[in-house]
Parts: sequence; C-alpha cells; structure tokens
Amino acid sequence: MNRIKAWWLAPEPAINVTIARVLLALTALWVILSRFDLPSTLQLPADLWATVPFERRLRFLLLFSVSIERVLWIALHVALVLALFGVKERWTCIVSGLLLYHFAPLETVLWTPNPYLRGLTIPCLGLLFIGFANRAGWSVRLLQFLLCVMYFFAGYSKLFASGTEWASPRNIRLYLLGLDQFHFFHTAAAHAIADNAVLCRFIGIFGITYELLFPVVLVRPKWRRIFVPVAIVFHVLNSWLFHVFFHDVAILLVFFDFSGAQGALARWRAAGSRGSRTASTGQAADRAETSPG
Amino acid sequence: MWQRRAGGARARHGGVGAVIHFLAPWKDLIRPAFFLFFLILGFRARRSQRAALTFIAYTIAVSLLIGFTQLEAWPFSDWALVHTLREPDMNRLDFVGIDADGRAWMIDPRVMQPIATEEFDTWMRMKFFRMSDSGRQAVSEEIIRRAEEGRKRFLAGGSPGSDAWLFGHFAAPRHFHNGAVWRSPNDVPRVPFRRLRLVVTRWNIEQFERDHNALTRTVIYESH
Repeated sequence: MNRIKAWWLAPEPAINVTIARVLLALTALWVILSRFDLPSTLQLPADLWATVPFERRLRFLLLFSVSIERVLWIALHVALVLALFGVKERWTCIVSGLLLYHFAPLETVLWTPNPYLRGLTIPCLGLLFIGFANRAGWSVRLLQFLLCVMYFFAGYSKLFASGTEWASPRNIRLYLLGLDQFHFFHTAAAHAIADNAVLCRFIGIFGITYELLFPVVLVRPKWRRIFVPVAIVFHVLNSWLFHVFFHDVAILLVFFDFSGAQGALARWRAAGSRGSRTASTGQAADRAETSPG
Repeated sequence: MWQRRAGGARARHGGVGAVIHFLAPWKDLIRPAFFLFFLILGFRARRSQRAALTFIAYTIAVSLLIGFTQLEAWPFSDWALVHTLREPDMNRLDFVGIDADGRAWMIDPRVMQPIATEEFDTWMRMKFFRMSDSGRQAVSEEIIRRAEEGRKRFLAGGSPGSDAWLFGHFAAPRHFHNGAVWRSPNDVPRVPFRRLRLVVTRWNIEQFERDHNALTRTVIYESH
C-alpha cells in the first residue's frame, strides 16, 4: 500500500504537467470553437424543450437565458485560453473544467444527459485534476488512469453487452457496411475489409484485446512506446473505416516523459553553443595566427 | 439505427439489478452527487497528502464503479461505444424539404449544427411523435428555418452547417461524422424551402451492398 501511495504522490517533472494542461486546453478549445454558438440550442422551440426532463437541466445548471449562457460560453473560451498559457493556472483550469461540465451536455441533452465521446469528457475531468492538484504530479497520473479506464471499459462494454459474438466476422462486417451506408459514405477500404472474414475477425479480437490490455501502460512505461502509437493508428482507422471520431488523440501524449526530451534539447543547444564558441575561437586564433588550445 | 443487446450477455445480475431498480427513481439526484462529491474532495486535495490520496481514491473508485456497472454518471462514463450487436436491417430518418415549387430535396443534416445529426435524430425518434400537432409543427418550422439558412450558406460557397465557421475542413468532426448530402449546387433548390417531410428509409445491409436500389422510403410526416 505504501508503494502505491508513493507512486501516486511521486513528483512529476513540471514540463509533463504543463504539456498535459496545454493538450487538454487545446483539445477543448478545438472542440468548442467547432461548435459555433452552442448556447443557441436553447432557442429550439419550447415544445421541444418541454420533452427534456427538468432534472436533467438542473443537473447541469442549464437554467439560464440564452444571453447569460452566451456570456458563460465566452467565459469558457477565455478560461481555456488562460489555462492554455498557464495564467492563474489553478483557477483557470478549475473554471474551465466546471464550465465544460455545464456546456458539454448541451450537445446531447435533448435525449441523454451523457455526452461522453463527444470530445469534452476528458478535458473536463483532466483540467479539474490539474486545477485541484496545483502542479502536483498525481494530476498527470490520474489523467493517464482516466485514459486507461476509457480503453478498458470500451472493451469491457462490448463483452458486457454482446459477449464474444461482438468480435465475430459477421458483426464486424455489418458494422463496417452499416455505418458506411447510414452516414452517406462509400469507403472502398471498408467494403474490401468487410468482404474478408479473416480481417474482420482480426479486427474484432484485436480491438477488444487491445482495449482490455491498455491499462498495462500505467505500470509498464516501456509498453507505452507500442500501445500509444497503436492507439493513434487505431483511431485513425476507426475514423476512416467506421466513421467514429475520437477527439482526444493528442492527449495520449501525456503518457510520455517530456523531461527527457527537454534535457536532450538543452544538451543539444549546449553542444551547439560550445561548437560555435570553438569555431569563433578558432577563427579569432586564425586571425591572430595562434591556436585555440 | 436500432441495435439489440445479446440477451444472454446482459450482466445485470439479480442482486445488482435489484439495487439499481430500487434506486432508479432517485437516479437524477444520485448521478450529480458523484460529481458534487468529486468537487468537494477536489477542492480539499491540496491541503495534505492524505486529502490528495482521498481524492485520487474516490476518483478511481467511482470510475471503476461506473465502468463495471455500465451505468451513467457523467462526467464519469461507462465508455461504451459501438458495443452492441449490429442488426442487418437498418433505417434512417431523412429530412426532406419541399421547396416553393413543390419539389422535394434531401436536407443535408449539417444544417442542424451546432446540434449534431446523431443527437437530433435520436430525439426525433424518441419524442417527435409524442408531441402535439402544434409542437410537431413548431419543430418542423425550426428544421425548415435551419435548412433555409444552410441552403443560402451553401449556395454562397460555404458549408451547410456552422461547425466549419473558423477551422473549415479542420473543424472538430462529430462523434459519428456524416458524409455530405449536399455536394454541389445541383443538390439544393434555388427557391426557398417551405415545408418539411419526414421519410424513413429502410434497407437490409447485405441487400443494399449488392443493389443500391434495394431500399424503401416511407413518408411518415409532412408539415403544414
């Protein structure tokens, strides 16, 4: 137990906390800047809003007028920009997280209070972690844990809801074709893969296995060099073949230790400046007809 | 898109199911309580290492609880995605606009942005036909209003929707991203939309794969 506590409370290089904050803020900004005037959703006909349970609106404090919501929407943009640049980091991260909690459900509130996988769940929680931790390293580890939970339960939910039949060639084929047809696409690669039962089975089994195993990167840092790049490829292929987009891909970079890269950059710069001093010393020596030695 | 769960794999076993059933009437109070408690512990987390560990332990416990029970307590998520078995028969609710000349045109779903197609489609399936006639008319007029704005934007060289206002093609896509219905000016009328028609398009995935005409379209609603 002491080892677990020590692991959570161990210091984290400041650059890793900064990178995490920047990635979370940038991702959230990208998503909200791609949802022009989201508060205008509240201007849908009153008859439509009458079908949304009041408790659901109360849960996320979606009770204000459109004017006030637009002010809060602008405040979210400002808070995220300030959080991005580390201005009053603790409070801008907390305020950003709270406003994301308030606004993210607007995207789905008409039919569900659960706006997960729309791009703002991880930034909402992640920015709150960083704000509450006040630069402590456990915020990064908790964010890494959250990402592991996401993959693990993505795999678990498939087995929970559908059993091993989810990974069958028939099911994968129907998803490839069905999503392509439903969303007005005709992706040649999706159709080609759908016609190959071996590939379909591979996608099904690999997908679930990979998702269930992903949390190992939390305790085996060296495995991140494989699992994280595979995750990126996984999401690119998901978007291309299944038309399912994952907004938080960049946040996967929190699994890497940037202090090493920072150190290497500093050493490279130092070597470069020593080399230029040597060169200029040599040039001066040549002009003075002496050796630099 | 209606999907079924494999009956034998539903793991809401007796004991857990009974507890969930008992707590169901209070779910809209219980769910935000998870987040409220998270905030309280979060604000205290920097006071001491013990407080920080309490917050961390709580976050882990709630994340695992929600994940394993597959219940919802956003922002603590069950992370279920494309997790059910895909049925071979599909249906899609298409918005069709009737223009001032009486001609029918498919409406590009992007006109509803910032509301996502997937979300509005699900709401329509769940609620639209439970509304009064005046309610349905009000919603129809809103859809036509947005379709009209989208039509003008598209004919002016822009996107039918508003998501692309700043980043263009690099705007954050939706969770399920749609292909374009309006691809050229020939796909939209030159005269305004006047009325809405809801059409359910049905097809079998395998049959449609062999023959793209193997689908049926049924008009289920037309606005005044």
